[in-house]
Amino acid sequence: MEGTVDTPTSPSARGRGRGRRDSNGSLQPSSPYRGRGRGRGRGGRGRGRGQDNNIQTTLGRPLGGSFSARLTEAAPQQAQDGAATGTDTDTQQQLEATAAGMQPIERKQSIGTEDSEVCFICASPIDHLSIAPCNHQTCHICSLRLRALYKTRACAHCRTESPFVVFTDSPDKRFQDFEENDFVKIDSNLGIKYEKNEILEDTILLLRYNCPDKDCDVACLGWPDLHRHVRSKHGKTMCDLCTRNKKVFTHEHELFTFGELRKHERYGDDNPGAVDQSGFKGHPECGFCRQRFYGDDELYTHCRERHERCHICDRRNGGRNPQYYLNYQELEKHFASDHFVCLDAECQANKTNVFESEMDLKAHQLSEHPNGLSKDARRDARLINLSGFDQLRQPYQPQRGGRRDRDRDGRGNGRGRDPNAEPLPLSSAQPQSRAELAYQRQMAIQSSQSVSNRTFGGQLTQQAQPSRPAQQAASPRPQPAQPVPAFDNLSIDTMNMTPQERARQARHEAVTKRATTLLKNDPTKLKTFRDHVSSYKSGKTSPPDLIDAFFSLFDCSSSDLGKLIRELADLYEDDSKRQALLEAWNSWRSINEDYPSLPGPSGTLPSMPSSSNPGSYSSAINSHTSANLAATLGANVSSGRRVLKLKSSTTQSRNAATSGAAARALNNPDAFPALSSARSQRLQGHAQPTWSASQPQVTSTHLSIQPQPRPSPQIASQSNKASLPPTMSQRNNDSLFPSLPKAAKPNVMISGFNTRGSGRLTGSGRNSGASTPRTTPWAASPTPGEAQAALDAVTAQGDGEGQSQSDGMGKGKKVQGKNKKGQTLNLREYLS
Amino acid sequence: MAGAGQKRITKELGELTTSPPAGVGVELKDDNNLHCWKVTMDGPSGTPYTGGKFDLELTLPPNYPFKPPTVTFKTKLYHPNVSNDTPPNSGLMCLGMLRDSEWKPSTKMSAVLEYIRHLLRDANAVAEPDPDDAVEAKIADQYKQDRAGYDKEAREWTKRYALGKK
Repeated sequence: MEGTVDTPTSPSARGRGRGRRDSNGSLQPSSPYRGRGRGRGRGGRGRGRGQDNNIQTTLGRPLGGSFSARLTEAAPQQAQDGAATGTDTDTQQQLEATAAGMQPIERKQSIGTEDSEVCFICASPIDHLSIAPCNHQTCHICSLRLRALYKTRACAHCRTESPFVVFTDSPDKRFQDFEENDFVKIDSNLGIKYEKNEILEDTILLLRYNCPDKDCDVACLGWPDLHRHVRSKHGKTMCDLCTRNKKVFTHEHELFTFGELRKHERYGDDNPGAVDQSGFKGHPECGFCRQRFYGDDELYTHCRERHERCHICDRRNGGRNPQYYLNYQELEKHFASDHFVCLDAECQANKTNVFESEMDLKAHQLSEHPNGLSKDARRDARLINLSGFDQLRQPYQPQRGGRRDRDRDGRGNGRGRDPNAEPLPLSSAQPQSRAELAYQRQMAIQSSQSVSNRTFGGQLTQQAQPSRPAQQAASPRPQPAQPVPAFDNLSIDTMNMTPQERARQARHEAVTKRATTLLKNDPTKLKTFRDHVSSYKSGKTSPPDLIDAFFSLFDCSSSDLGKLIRELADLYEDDSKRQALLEAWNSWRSINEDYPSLPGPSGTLPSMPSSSNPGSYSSAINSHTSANLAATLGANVSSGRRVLKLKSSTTQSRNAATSGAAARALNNPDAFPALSSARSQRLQGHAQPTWSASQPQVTSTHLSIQPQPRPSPQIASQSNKASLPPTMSQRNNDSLFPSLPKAAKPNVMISGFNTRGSGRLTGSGRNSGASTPRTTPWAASPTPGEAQAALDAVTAQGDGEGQSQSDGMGKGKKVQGKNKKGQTLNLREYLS
Repeated sequence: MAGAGQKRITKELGELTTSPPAGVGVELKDDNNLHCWKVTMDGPSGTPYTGGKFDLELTLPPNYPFKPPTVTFKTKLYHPNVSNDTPPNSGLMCLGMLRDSEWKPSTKMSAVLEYIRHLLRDANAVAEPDPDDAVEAKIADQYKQDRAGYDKEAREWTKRYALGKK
């Protein structure tokens, strides 16, 4: 409730500025406080600007003038009321005079500023301002939304790209007026320079995995953790597609019951009569796969990649009403029934064998396969039957329409032709004589048996069916990827090795090479890699453990690692080993990669000292700055309260509770695992060595915009939390930061249930609370036995308690989550 | 909180209903759905569209104002920038400013509507400098080369489709 008064100008200047603004009515007619700041802050400059406040594009500083209206703490409530009602210039001036008189003129802005102005973009009250180099202003939320969620750095007003914007509370400063040392923090990932810690904190709060429930101030570790939280705490679910695709802050997602979720997916949230209509019409479904997609664009992409379209039909109808076929086989059926297909095996393998008209087909046959036709046939082929020519075109149209209708009907259950339609033999579209057909078929068989390169793949897959060469074409894969038996058929010229050995050797080298590259030629690491691999081979390491080990070893993106793991898996002759490894990898991926991580301000994270979500940042830390920041920030606002305020919701008694919690968190050294330097003095014991010794690869970039699913080891430090009262530890735990390690993934994908995946996470982090502190968080993770024990323990707890209790038993929790889902489903069955 | 755009829409709608731009009327198509507006636009005088009353539908995406709205003419109209296509696309209006890549969250609906009306007055305003915006290339060509023919046709269409109702 304090305002800035830098250079107050005369009341009349203010009045004029405001008056103009009113007259074009383009700004916030709802706001009674308009215009004061212009006069106050910028004087003449502001007045000049007011004039170009046209409807769009030309807004000089759209908010500059309208910002301002801040009342000091001293300003009496009546003054505000007066302002609210007084709209004419005089009243306004009077009011300002009063306000100005009551507030110390030199007063600088301070924390706690409250603005009654609204953002031009979102029409919501402004907490903090974002100023772009073009000096356009928006509220910090809109700016953050564009930068963090929409991933655009364009100014909301003029689309000018700006590498950095300033988050500030000074409406009257121009972007260029800021000096580098005006900022408490510069986040180069999001491109935001923060003028104050308070703004920084408010921003970071928005980026956490806040629970969407408006009365709940819990922030989770990541999407899976949040899913688990909303299910166990609130008995709700979140829409998976929305959480992955919808560009809103975490707490802006919606919570659904199962029934609501179904309705949401099918029909959207249209709820006649409701105030908050979103215009959302449901997630479209692929008729073939029965899978829903976030929007039409995503569905289109899916169909383009997974299903087939007939290029001939597309050309005919200009690409409108695209008709898809489940796969190439179905498309071939369509070709055979509706278009003209050349049966030559080579053509079929090339997939270039379909023609729009009989004439095109004949021309093709004459030019490409002249030998395939007898002399007579060739001569006949050159003849165009004019009597049939009309028929070819004219009756064609109705037929086309009919076909499309059929297709439309058949789309849901299986696309392609209507089974009731007259069955067409494969050759029915062919205008050839039986003799020619026989000849062609013979040729096809011959050529597919010959050992030419072209049909080589067909032999590999041993599906050589002359009539369906396209299948062969689709299935063969590059030979090195084939399992070893595939090479049995080959008679490759070898020196001393059998083909298998040679192939294996080649793949071995490929794996080693990839590993070497990924490890940046570090011989010790390479050695570790080899050790891991051999211990897996000998059965000493379980597949998930191996993957965990790789993660601690490799500093690379998960897709790179995925390649390596797949290649490695191919090396194992033992099928079960290969399967196990791939399975472990896939389950890890489904747990950790399926959810996009919210971009977190990278370097900024660690500097959020008191905001109760410390563990997350940890290694991203630039320890000097963060330590300093920590010192400056000191005991601070309770994040919980801010979150709630931020969710513009109930204030309730929770405030007290949360601030208390925050205070306690403050006293608890574990609340600051991020601050490595500060920590090391205050905290002895296992935690510090644990993560300081750990993976150097977690860099700040990893932690932020790029989805970095790999858990940072620092959570291990949270283990001490067991000593806290349960609610306390849970709070700390839950309020960890975004882009951090994901916990168990709750209910979304089947593979997500794999307990192993969470075992890794929890093994490094939360599990240590229950078990003994681990010095090497990555190597050791709970055995299935432990998991079972944890599960039993958790299921013994009540539902509500389970969550806090399970802090030390992440794995158990996940399994519990699964069970719970089952229960809920059962319950639903009872109900319905 | 999902109502970040809601406030903005409410505000703009309020402004447009209290002080609409000349020749433009705005109301909700369905009182319960803020995201679908029904707009009526008078054909500007001195153009082939004079006297016509054109219905438009303005659809605001759920993430408005961060994504652009779409504008569709519900009344058939002979104009280079308005699609004459078969139903799914009919009446679709192609405007540079509404393209995803050029959309500015600061653009207000009143500006969009004024721009559209401006287009009715002078099809050239968009068709010429930015041929991408001309969905109906044929009409655009005719506009440039055979203005009289274009005027006649457009007048004809206006009479046929946009005059009948009041």
